[in-house]
Amino acid sequence: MTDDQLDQILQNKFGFTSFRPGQKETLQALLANQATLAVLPTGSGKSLLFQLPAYLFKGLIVVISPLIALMQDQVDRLRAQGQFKVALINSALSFTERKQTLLQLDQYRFLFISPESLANAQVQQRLQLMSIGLFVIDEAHCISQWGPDFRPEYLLLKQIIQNLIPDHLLMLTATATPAVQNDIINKLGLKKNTVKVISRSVDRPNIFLAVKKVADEEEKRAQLLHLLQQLKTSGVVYLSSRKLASEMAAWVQEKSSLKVAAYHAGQNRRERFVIQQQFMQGQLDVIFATSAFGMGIDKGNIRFVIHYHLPGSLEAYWQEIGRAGRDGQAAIAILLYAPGDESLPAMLMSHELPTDDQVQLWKKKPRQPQIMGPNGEVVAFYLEHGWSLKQVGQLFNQQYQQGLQCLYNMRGYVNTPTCRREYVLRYFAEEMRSKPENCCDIDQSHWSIDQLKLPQEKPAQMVMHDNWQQRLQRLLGSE
Amino acid sequence: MDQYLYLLFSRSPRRIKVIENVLQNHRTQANLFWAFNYGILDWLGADRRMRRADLANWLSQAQAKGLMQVDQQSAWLTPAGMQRQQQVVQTYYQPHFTQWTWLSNPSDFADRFSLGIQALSELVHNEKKYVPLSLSITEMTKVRTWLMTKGLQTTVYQELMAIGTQLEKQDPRLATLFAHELFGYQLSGWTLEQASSQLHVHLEEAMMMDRDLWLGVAHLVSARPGNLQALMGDLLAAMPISASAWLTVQQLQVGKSVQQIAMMRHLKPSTIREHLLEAAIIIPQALDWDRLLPAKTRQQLATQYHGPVLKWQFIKPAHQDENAAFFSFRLYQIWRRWYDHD
Repeated sequence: MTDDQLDQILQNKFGFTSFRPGQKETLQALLANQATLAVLPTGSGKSLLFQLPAYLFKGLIVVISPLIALMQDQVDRLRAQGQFKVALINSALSFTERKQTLLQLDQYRFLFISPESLANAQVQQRLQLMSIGLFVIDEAHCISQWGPDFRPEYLLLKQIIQNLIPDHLLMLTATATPAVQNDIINKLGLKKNTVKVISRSVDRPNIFLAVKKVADEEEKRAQLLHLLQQLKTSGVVYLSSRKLASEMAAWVQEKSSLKVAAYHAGQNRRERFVIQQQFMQGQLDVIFATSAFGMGIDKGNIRFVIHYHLPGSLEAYWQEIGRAGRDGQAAIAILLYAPGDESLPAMLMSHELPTDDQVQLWKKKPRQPQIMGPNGEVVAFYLEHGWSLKQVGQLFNQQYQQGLQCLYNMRGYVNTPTCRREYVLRYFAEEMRSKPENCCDIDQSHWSIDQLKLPQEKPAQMVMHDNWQQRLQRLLGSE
Repeated sequence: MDQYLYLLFSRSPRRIKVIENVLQNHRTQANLFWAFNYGILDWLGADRRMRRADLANWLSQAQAKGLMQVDQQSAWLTPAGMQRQQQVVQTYYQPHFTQWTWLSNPSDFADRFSLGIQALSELVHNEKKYVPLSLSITEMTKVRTWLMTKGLQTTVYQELMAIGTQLEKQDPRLATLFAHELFGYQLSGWTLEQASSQLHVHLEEAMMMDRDLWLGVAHLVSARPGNLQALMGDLLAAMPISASAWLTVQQLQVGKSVQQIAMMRHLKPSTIREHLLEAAIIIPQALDWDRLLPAKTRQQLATQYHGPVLKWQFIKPAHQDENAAFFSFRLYQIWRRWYDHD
């Protein structure tokens, strides 16, 4: 296939005139039948890399995704493009739903599936009967024990790929250091010289980087409100808990004229959907979210991302701030930091092992891994795959140490005396090629929001209210 | 639902576990029995996401405010708590449709209904590219199949207007909430926060109205055959008791005994008795009490048990099947509550 043909598909089917950096090279590598690892930053259009091949390859496109929310988001995007032949299998499906989906699998073009669902024997048997045009491992860094997002189920993928023998293999990730890239290739049983690695800089030069250090929680709140009153719209504030997201949204709503909403996994489906829609349509200025928000939010004009709590790793932080400025215009990422902010992520990191008694009890009731405590499911996974409890303990300890190291690196970002962007790029084993005009608060210690010339977004529009009869009429367009 | 929780308690001690189970819609016979006696069956499933820790937290806060007394297993209102309960009754939104709590899970019902209207709204405006409310494949397939029905636009519009009119008769705010929770072509719905601010009610009231609204819509859809019923029908229960329990009741009505029904249905006799107790609590008029609990048995039990029904302690029989004896004991308690105005 020629470059022109790829361009034509892009224009005709997706309405874009040109590919983003790294996209075309990845597609060309796949067309040349090479296993491909694409390391492309957030906002670089990774979804297109499994959407467009639907027009290149025959057979089912299988996409492995680690989180239900992420999977759902990708499915929504495909549906929004009018592509409704999308199936989804994960633990949220009932037995009957899964059975039905498997029975009708040949009617679908895409299958989004979690690694643990893919490990199911019935699912694999069904897939072995089908031709798999493309096998995509999204968030491929989850396979690496060197990364902060390690998911043990990803280790099963090596064997699964060998069983299914897909026509093409694509591994996608936004943030992977060279060590993690090598680990991905090794853990999937591939040879380094057979894999085409396409990597683009993780840098997002249009995002100004800043940290605001405050003395305590009270000052942090005040600082947040002050920043929001200056920044106005449109932005995301990330918090570490659902409760705080709701409380903070209510507080800011009361203290300002901004239109805000909380967004988290504790809300019901319709509520989350409506909030997401309103934010996309410019009816909300700011969303107060937990990390559940914005897995694949594609709102181009998010002008700011504020972190109220310290993320556990630079990878997570970079991914979350990557939602700002996707339109290429100036944006800002601000991290609020008070002394002691490290303690919460450190606490969440500790992996408690079950006692021997709990393990014995679980052996009698293998369907109830929660018997083994908060990490029961992960422990059960290892024990089921022949590990001893001692080995699991060693792994947990190793991961805990790595987690602490990640947190240490994150704290390094807060305290770095030199350019923050350089710090991040160095972490991802990159060099800065050119410094953007507005880089970070270290380089420009007297920075102000006004100086950054962020594009003025329209303030959120009020959601329209009619009387109920008019509203129903507008919905269904009846005379 | 912090304030509404006061409505589930009284001056007499109530079992905390029962309150929790009621909110989470646990329908064991023991739970139904106590919920029936407390007069809170209409609250079944009112907060399915409620966790034990949430309730414990609420109780300790209410206790600290001097509104509740709590011991290990029970809790009751103090005089100040009684006053608070009255305030909630007088000043908070009071639901109208909770007698239909058995009819449908309002959350599942609202999800499919909303997707149906959204998809239809986009369809009638010729919009193919939109983000649908994401539900399971089964749900989405149901809606897609329904969309192929001819003449949906006019009929569904009329049905929605009819629902709105009925809701408005109960409370005009319900009709407003109904129309604004729906979303579709170039229209996003209200969040609960927005509903609370637009309707000038507390957020907690908006949440209660949301539940009440969807129970009401479920009832109105079930009562009126039409295209909405075609979309929603399989989410509507035919009876207030489980389908399996209803089958047991029907078999009893044609003269079968507990043992015979158990044999025919390959179920344990204890399961059949559970079914009958569920029916006795919820639809007592459907049972032949004289056969189930003959006058002679009632007389025998009357000699054994005295005083307030809820204070009776089951006495294990010396030479009889204990399960069967407990069944008669519990049935007698229910009978006394229904027919003897204990």
